[in-house]
Amino acid sequence: MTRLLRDTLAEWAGEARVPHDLADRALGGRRPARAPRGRVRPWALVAGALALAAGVTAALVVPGAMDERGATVRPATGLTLPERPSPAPTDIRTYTEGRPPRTLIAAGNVAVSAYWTTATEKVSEKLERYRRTWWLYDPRNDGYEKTGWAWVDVAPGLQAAAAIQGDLLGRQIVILDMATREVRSVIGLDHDAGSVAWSPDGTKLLVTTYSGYPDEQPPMKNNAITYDRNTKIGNRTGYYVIDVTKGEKQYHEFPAMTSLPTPGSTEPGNGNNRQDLGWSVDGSLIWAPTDTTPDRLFYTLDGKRHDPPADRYIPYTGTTALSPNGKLVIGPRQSGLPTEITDAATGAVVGRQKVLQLLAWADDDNVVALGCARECDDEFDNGLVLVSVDGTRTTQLAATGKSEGEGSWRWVLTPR
Amino acid sequence: MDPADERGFREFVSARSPALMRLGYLITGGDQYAAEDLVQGALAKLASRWRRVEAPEAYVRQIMYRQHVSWWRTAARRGEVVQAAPPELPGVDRTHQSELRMVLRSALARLTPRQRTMLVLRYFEDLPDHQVARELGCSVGTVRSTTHRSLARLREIAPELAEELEAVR
Repeated sequence: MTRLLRDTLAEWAGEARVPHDLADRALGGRRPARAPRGRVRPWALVAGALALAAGVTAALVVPGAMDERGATVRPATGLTLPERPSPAPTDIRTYTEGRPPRTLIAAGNVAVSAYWTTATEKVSEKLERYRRTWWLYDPRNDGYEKTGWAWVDVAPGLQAAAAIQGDLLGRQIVILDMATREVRSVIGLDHDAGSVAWSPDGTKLLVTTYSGYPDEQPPMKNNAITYDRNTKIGNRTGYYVIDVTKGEKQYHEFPAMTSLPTPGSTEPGNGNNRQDLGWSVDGSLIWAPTDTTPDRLFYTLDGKRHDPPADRYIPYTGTTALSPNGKLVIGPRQSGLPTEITDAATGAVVGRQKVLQLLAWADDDNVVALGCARECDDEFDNGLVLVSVDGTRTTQLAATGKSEGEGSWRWVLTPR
Repeated sequence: MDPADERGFREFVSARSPALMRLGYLITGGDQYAAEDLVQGALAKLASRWRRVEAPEAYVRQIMYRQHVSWWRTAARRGEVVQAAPPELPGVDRTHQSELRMVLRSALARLTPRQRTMLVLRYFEDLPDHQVARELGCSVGTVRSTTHRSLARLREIAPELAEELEAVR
């Protein structure tokens, strides 16, 4: 049956983008416009031999290491996921030649495992939509691969990825082996999924479902967004907890939190349409975001309200604020300028950093942060940096640029 | 290149680059940047011979097919590890065509460029064996044996496709 092969090839070919300046490039004999001069692009096949010589070792090391690591314990009906590398790499990897990044960005214990770029589309006269295009780290060539998935998350250790197969929402979760790019499993759902998150131990998935695509809103007019009463935008409906290693999934209804009923109310609320659920630091609880204070409410995996654990989080994220040795905490001033890091025991400020936001601990002395371009004269012109706790050392990890528009991208930081 | 030639060349690129990019994208295994490099390189060669080439599209395509395969010959393999046995697959029902296409795509990406190019010529470009042989500068026997091996490799990488691909000849 040649039809499957023909259909697959035709569908796949449709994902190619057509550069507008091919004729210029061909006539000028130039390198492709986005290829930084003087740098070998490791994924360009023509540069393959050079790239190998130039030390693009990840492409070689990762698949090879997979075989040596052997298998984990595998329950009868589940999936064996590749083991996390041990010891995990901690080297600093930068890409400052352009945006979005073309090769791995990483520092210490964390790496940019995926990122998304966005486009705004018109849905109707009254509605526009914010669409993400997801790019996933590809250890075979150390680059980032454009995907057609609706959402992507990478398991800690960067050996496996989970993605929502679909246009804006989807009813299939794909589990991918990062090193071989093989689809290891496809999990069918009965509800439309809008986000997926790996548990901290990399064995479970938390999938948030929606009644429709949540990232839509009326277009801005005169600097204001006016919601029409009749405008329907997707809201959270529930979630799945999927145990990938056991091959089990469970759905729970979990409707969206609504915004505050009255001004001055102390009840938690959330007026956003997207309300993706997250894992607690140890994976024993889940949390739902609010747009009030505190920034989240905790629940058991079955959806029962639970007291908040003693964990310290970076606001509105599932990332721990506590340093690996447990001595320091990001914040309370997590966004600057300046930001602060405090002693976990005493609360005393131990360092201030001239950055816009502290994002994740790279090691006990350094934090991945959003730094500003130049002298911080424009907070919307920024890029990833590594900054020391005392704020005296800063390493540019990614190129700076405007946080919206051409070249802008949004990182996903994952433990390596 | 004089202005009239340049205009003609630009018109050709404008009209044909979507098709050329689709081809480049497939034979590079879905690598947008490698595909751009491949198409750009082939177009640059065409530009230098614009007046002498009678069938520009056929010329560009042939450069792309051959260039890609020869890169593979010289550039070693990109760190691919050939696994002795296909990895374990979960017991998931893959009856849906879209799932099968996903699996097949992932398997195609793992073929060597030469194997993939051969399948693209046969099943995307729809060329008969003798024409594939002419485009790649090899014998009809080589086309048949490579196609056979490529399909076998796909079945090996993705055993759940075996039945679907069994009938492909």
